[in-house]
Amino acid sequence: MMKKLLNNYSTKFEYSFYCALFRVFIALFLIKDVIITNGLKNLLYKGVEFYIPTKSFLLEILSIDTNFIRNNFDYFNILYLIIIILYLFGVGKKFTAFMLYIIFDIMQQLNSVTLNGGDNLLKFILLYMVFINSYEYFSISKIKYKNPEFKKFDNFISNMGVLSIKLHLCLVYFLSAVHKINADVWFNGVATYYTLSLERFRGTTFNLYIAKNAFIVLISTYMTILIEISYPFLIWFKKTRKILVILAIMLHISISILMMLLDFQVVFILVQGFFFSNKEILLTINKIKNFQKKTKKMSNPIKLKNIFKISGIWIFIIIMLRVMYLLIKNYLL
Amino acid sequence: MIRKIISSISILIFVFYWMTTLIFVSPKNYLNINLLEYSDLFNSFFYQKWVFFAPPPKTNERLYYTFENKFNSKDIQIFEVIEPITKAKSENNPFNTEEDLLDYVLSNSINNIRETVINTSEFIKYQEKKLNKKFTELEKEKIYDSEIDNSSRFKTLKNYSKNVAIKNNININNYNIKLTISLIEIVPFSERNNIIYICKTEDMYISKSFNLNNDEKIIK
Repeated sequence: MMKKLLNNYSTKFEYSFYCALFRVFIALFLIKDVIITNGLKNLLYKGVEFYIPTKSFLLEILSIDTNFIRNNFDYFNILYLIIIILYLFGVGKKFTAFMLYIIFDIMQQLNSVTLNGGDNLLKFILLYMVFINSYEYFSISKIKYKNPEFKKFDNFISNMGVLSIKLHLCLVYFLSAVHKINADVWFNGVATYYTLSLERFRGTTFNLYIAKNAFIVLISTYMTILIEISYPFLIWFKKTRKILVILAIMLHISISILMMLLDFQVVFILVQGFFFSNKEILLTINKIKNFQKKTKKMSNPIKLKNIFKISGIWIFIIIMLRVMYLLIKNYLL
Repeated sequence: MIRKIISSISILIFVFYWMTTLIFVSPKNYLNINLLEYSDLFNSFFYQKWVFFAPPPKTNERLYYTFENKFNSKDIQIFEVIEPITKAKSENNPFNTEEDLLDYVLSNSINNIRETVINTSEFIKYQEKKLNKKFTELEKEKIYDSEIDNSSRFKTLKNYSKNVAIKNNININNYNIKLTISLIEIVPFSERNNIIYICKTEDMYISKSFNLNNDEKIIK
């Protein structure tokens, strides 16, 4: 079994496309975070306002005084931003990925009070990304190996990294479901009434109306448990995978809208893509292409490259608009 | 050959990592209680908690700052800070980063203090059992007092009084300050349509007076 696993995992790395795409998404996501929190750095990271921060365990291990980093936080933040940009373009490959993980962890420890589940999961994903070769696409250069044995080992480690990401997501859903089943309000089918009634997470004016509908409360409570408990088992089968991913994405979208937990849910939605190999992603894109050909809506056949270009441009425009808005809000207003 | 050896070692590390993660992340059980001494080490590097509203809170929080004039007993000003922040957070959604982060700092500090109170209560029970003696109310109060005062989260809330004072043009040197955390019960699901029940009940959770020279005193 061990031999089979070694051979299978060493022959090829089937998730290179999504890993590269995820690298780009996460880098842009982190850049957005740096810009957003820049206006609040005195409160969150420097410890010069009312918030009393705690010491960073990782810095203490590295024999660096946490206060030294806080006092020179502007330089540290610039270093963090540079590392993210290098990671975005695939410069420095796995060394940059490792540096990003370390700095990301230190940033979390500098301000632990505002962290949520999405931040917690992202920390582990960044750790696993250190081992993954995510530089086959959207990178200024690929990793080149002269010795085929090194290439095989790289494939092996990358596959293990992706497996870890999948396992971690399954672990999260499983543990969450176990805790939920153990809580009375989830067991009795009324939990979403309380989550929707919380003032802190009132994302829409409809929350209270939805909460008062016993039928919606019952269905949403049990559906949440059902998705979380079935996900770790059924996601590994081809037949049930797509259904579960769609259900999980719907669950996270509804949480992000109703409970104002956008960033938290974005991380969970993005991680779903690791369950699809290059082959499956290409197959889906080809199906869309064929469908469009059949309906004859397009006069020119769509090339895969063009799809990525167009979606890339749109993502870039949306991110730039968001960045501009934040810059104006933080610095000009 | 060398690749296969290194790959095999990698698999062993992988299995070890996932075994330890499963042990320390899973709910309290025989195995992780027996390995409690190693849990701190694990949590230092790989802390994670996947509870996600299990159970969801059944209360909304309020945080009051009361400023009592030292020289004029009639001059008492009270400010509640949580409700305006959560309202602004909802109104400005999705462009609510500032309110969101401020809410996290204050609300998570309150939750942390609540956890401290629960942990202290368990500690007192454990000590009473271990030493086979009952603590007096005064002794218990001292233990609670020391645990809360030394927590960085309480200090954070205490410091926030300066912001409240500045915002409302209050000279803190002339005032005694009192911090009060209270909890408003969410109407139980079974009573959601009961008009008679829908009247907010607010229970005081903790109240401490202090001045900013670290001279606090528990009132209740």
